[in-house]
Amino acid sequence: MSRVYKFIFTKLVILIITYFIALSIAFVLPRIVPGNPVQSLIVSLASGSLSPELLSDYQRRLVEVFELNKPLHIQFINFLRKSFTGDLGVSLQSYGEPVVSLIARHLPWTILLLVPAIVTAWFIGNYLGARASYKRGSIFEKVTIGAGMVVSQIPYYWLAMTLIFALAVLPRELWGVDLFPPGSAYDPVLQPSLTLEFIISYLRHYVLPFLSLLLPSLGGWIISMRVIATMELGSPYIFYSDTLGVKDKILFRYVLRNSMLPQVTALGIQLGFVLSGQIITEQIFNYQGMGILLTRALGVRDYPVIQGVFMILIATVLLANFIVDFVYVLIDPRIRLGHRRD
Amino acid sequence: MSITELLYVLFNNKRFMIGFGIILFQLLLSFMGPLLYPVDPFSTDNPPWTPPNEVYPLGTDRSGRDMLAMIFHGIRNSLYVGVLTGLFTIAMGLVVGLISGIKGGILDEILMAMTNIVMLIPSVLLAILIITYIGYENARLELVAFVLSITAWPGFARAVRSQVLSLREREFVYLSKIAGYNSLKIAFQDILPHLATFTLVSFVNYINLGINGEVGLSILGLTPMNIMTLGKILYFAAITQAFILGKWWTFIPAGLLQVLLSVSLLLIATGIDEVFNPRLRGM
Repeated sequence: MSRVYKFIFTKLVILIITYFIALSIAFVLPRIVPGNPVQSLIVSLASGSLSPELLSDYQRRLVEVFELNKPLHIQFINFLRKSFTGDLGVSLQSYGEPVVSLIARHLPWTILLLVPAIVTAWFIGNYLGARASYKRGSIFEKVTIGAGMVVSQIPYYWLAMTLIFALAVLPRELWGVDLFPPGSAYDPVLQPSLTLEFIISYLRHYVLPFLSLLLPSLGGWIISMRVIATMELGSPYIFYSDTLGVKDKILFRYVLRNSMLPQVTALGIQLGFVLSGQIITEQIFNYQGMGILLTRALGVRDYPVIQGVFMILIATVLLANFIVDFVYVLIDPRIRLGHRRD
Repeated sequence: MSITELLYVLFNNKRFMIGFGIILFQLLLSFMGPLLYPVDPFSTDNPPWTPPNEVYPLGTDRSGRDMLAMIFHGIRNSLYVGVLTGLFTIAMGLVVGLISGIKGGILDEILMAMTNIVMLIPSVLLAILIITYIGYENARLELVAFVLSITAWPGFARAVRSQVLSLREREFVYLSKIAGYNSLKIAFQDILPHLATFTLVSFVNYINLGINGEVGLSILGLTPMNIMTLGKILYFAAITQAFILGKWWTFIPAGLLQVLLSVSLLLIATGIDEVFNPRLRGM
């Protein structure tokens, strides 16, 4: 078996084991926590102001999802079977809509918001970081690194609030200009469609959440890239090329390309962080993605939805990690060609 | 190097000093503040939405809570969560990393597989799931710190292990082995002292992670309601839509302080790194 297949195979095995363990955590947690949260939710629902038929309906749905009336091993096998067939139960709220269809409605918005922000931050941040380390000692370096250091420490949610205040609320109050809308993914009077009007409205609503995700992540890439690129600059081949009189532009391209490699793997790890920042960003912008779905479910303890969102988001992160690993194989000649002996 | 020499070198490092100064200032604020300005941060007796004035230096929020009092108490509790997260993470990471690196073999394989798996699970998601089922009413600050460190330790454990692996091949460890010392003694006498700086730097970084993680969980409403933290301040601002209503004083100062806290911790960490890791100097 060639090295590439071995590499991909190992990654795939780890991925499956990890997903299995994540599923097990989601299974075990509600069952081992003292006081049995599901049971106590049923009790607290009973003492609430729900009508008797609605209450028995809730109870039926909870029992259906958690199958508390069956032996543990049967529960676990059923849970796994359902997770892999995509049956995540029925929401307690939302008029009993299946969790899968709820997620299918919200996930595209999250991906649309997340992917451009992550990719843009990665490219710009790495370029700036490499440039800064190449221009060591210059004002450009000091400004970029200083700004990167501060920006990388700004929490996503606070930046989101501040951006709404500074770019949406203030201009309206001071000059009466509607620069950017303060929330939501598109104008509520419009229906999602591929018309020009809708796309423009979508893009205008997109700017602020995009910026609030982009900037902190950008700062992180600048900082980490500078460290990698500085080490790369110290390697013998750069010194040799420099002595040969290779042009600055070409030298910089060498450094950039070689320092990008470790950053590709870092992209996979970073994904989880951005995702968690994004859950809160969505809440603040009232952006109808997975974050809003999760926050609303958290408020009313809609366990089937919380569990479903957890499993789908983890699957997404794992899948993205796998894709990143795959890309890594494609671009790193040491892994791609390592098995050749010529 | 003796302790005094060490301190001398550290205090001569510009980054460390700036970071240390800011932290000291914030610590002073959080401990002296409540004494000099004895206002209950949860009291709702004041007029709502007051902009900063002479009576309320930082104004009040929708329920009439005094922002300045909230910030004093918030910094202290946020730092507490941060330090606890740092301690938990370091403890777990050191134990796993040392065992893995010194013992090796099948134990090493299992532990490292474990870190691989935990690292892939997004931390906030896991924290959300754990706290939801435990119930946020029962969530104490200690639990918040613990939940945050559950997902943070693998990175540190792996780094410790790789350092131990290279230290293990050094002469002084061989000599200890020849002298018949057991692995516990080797771990504590020969290996741990060499990990001291790295551990300290990581500790500072995990404090930062704890502070930020707490704010994230707070904004989702997953931390105890009766304890004021920086996260809780932003939570109140978020649920009252203060940023859309233009009440800047309810979230700008608290957020700025948090950024300041994070930047100073980052400065301290890089400062320590520079002092003890000469290759990084002048970067």
